[in-house]
Amino acid sequence: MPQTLRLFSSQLSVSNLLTLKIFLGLTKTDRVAVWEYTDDPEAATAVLIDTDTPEGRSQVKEWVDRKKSQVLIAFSDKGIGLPNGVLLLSRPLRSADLLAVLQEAATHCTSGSAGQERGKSSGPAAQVSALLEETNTSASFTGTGRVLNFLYKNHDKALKAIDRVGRSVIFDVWRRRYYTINLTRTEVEDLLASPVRSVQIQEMSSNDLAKEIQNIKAQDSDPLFWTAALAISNGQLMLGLLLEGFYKLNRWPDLKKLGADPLHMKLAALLRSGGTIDHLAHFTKAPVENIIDFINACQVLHYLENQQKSMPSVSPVEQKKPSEEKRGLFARIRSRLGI
Amino acid sequence: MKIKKGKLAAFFGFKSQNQEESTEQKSLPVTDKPIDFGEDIHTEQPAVIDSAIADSKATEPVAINSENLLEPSTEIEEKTVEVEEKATVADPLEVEATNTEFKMATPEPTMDYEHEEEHLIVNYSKEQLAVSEEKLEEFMRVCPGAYGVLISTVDGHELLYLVKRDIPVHKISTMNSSLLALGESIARESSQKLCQFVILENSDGRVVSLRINDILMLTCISSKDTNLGMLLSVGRNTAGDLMKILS
Amino acid sequence: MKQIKFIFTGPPGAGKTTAIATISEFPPVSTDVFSTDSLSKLKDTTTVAMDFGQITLENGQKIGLYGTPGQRRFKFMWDILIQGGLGLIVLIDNRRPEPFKDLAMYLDNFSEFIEKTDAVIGITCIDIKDTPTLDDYQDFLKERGQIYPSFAIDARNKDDVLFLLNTLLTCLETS
Repeated sequence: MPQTLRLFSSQLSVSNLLTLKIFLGLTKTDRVAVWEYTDDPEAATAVLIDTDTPEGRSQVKEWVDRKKSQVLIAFSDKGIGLPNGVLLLSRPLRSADLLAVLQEAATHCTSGSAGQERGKSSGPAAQVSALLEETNTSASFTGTGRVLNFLYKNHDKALKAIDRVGRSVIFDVWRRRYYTINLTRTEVEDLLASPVRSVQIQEMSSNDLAKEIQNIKAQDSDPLFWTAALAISNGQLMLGLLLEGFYKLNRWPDLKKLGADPLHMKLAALLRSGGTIDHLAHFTKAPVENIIDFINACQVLHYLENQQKSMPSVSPVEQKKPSEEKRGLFARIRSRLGI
Repeated sequence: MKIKKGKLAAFFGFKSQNQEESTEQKSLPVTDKPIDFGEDIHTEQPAVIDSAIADSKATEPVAINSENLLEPSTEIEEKTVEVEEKATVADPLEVEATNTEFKMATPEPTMDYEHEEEHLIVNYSKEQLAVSEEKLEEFMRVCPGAYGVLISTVDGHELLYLVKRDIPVHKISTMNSSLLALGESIARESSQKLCQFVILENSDGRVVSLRINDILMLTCISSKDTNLGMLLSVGRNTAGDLMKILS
Repeated sequence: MKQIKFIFTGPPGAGKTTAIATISEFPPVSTDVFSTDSLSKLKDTTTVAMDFGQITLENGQKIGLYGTPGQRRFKFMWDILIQGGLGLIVLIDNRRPEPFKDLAMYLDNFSEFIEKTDAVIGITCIDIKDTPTLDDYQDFLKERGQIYPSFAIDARNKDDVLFLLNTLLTCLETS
């Protein structure tokens, strides 16, 4: 049986509040957690606050200071300067984003108390956790986060994902191929962005895989994963990546295949010798969120070296300063060639 | 006077020969600074006389075949070979001649990048080559200052040569192929027809390159003892004769 | 005004002459002659000195596009041609028997130049022979501890050649 969890919101506009309530209805069929709206903050499992208003920001701060048990979700365009542990729901309000955040909130709620509650059978958190564990041991998977993150974590497997209306896509994650007969590329991207719980995922044996893909054309999953990773990143680093981490490429991303974004090209060039997100932002003058998106996408496609937590005293990126003369020349060449 | 004769080992399936006629040994400075030259060349591989092949195919064109070639020796670090009267060497480039011995440079196995391209597809009979060699000897006789004459392919492989000094024949062949091609390109770009000679006029000598036919070229190297007109004239006649012989 | 140029190198038949012709503002000056060795199985002619193309910038500055001869015996030309080079474009023909060996040879021989400038790698004919794959090349470079931009390209396709140049420029901006 799914656990019923409650969400309270603050500082949301009327239209966003109405939309939120409608979207919460989408969790009714969820096998793990069903979310309802509540007007009572004390009875809520999670609290959603619009932090793009001064009142919202101070409420979040106050909430954190009071060390309440509820999971805090910030509704914000950029989400910069959020206290640790606060989840981000990006503007504008989208169902896929909301469902993913709610799933994470359910997990936080369970893991936050898991240390104290493990072994006890009472309390909603323990029940959700138990349900998660139970479903993980069955033939099909459920988990937290988005389908893309799930595939990333299971990069050595072949997995079949079936959406709510029974359409399927097979990911041979190890060989970086996918197969589908009834989903378009955009629909597969949406599926990757959707919460794991909204999709049924099954592991496939090599025999089953061979049998099922017999007459289906293999498609390269790299551009798909890349696009999906950029789309769902929302300026938030993937789990396990640190804002102050030192990042370095282990190989050059095939940007010809993945889309020739000039910023990505520049970031890839810089990341050959490595750097921190701050240094990259400083050098490229690009928003931190865009750099994080790129880092996430590189991580999903395994283009990054193992992250070093400690930052070298001088970042290699810091040393690179092309002369004005050179920059002018390169700009003229680009202009002449139309690139 | 000592004259080195050489043939491209790959052409015949057996190695070229040096016939000592003199003890004169002089190196020819090609440029002021040493040129780092590719080590890929086939002539690193010392060839041996395969008498069976040589005898059986004495009057037939010899197809270029890797089986006819000696495998490169990778064992030796620096091998000293006592040279008999008719010493056999792979290529003067790789041989440092002293009075009676040659040092063979160690082949670098990792440098064998170009082996695929080194097996020439053109081939000539031994008779054709023998007559061509006579023409080269005649050239040397007529031009007193000449100390080198080379037949090579337009893409830089030496075919047959006669040199009186210890000059890097392979380098000269390759560089002159570039030079001749550049000369021909410059002539075309200058709206001029048919590049006849590429002439290098140096303080103490001249190097003249000209085509024999579509795939072969002749390089004549001379001191100032032969005047330019003579060198060009004899060179052109020799190239004309060779064109008929090697057609 | 200082002569500035890009250098295209790679084994014979990899598409250097074609790539230069694709973007040069005049048909490139070539020094092609008949090939007389095994290369002739792949192509009739080979470059023995250089290919030369050019683009002129708005301020009148000329950018030279130089192609080297592919064979290593012409290394003396490589050393001449790289003088004043902005960066290196290495084209590798995937049909050749040992393309990794080819790649290693060019990266090694141009290592000093690359160290001072930068390099990009274009793999050609991967549509004709699909192994090794681009991933294999990346693995090969990774084993050598090198990260160079590498792409599958068609030297006849202007966009592909421009993409290589654009990537090279981006790398140069950060080095």
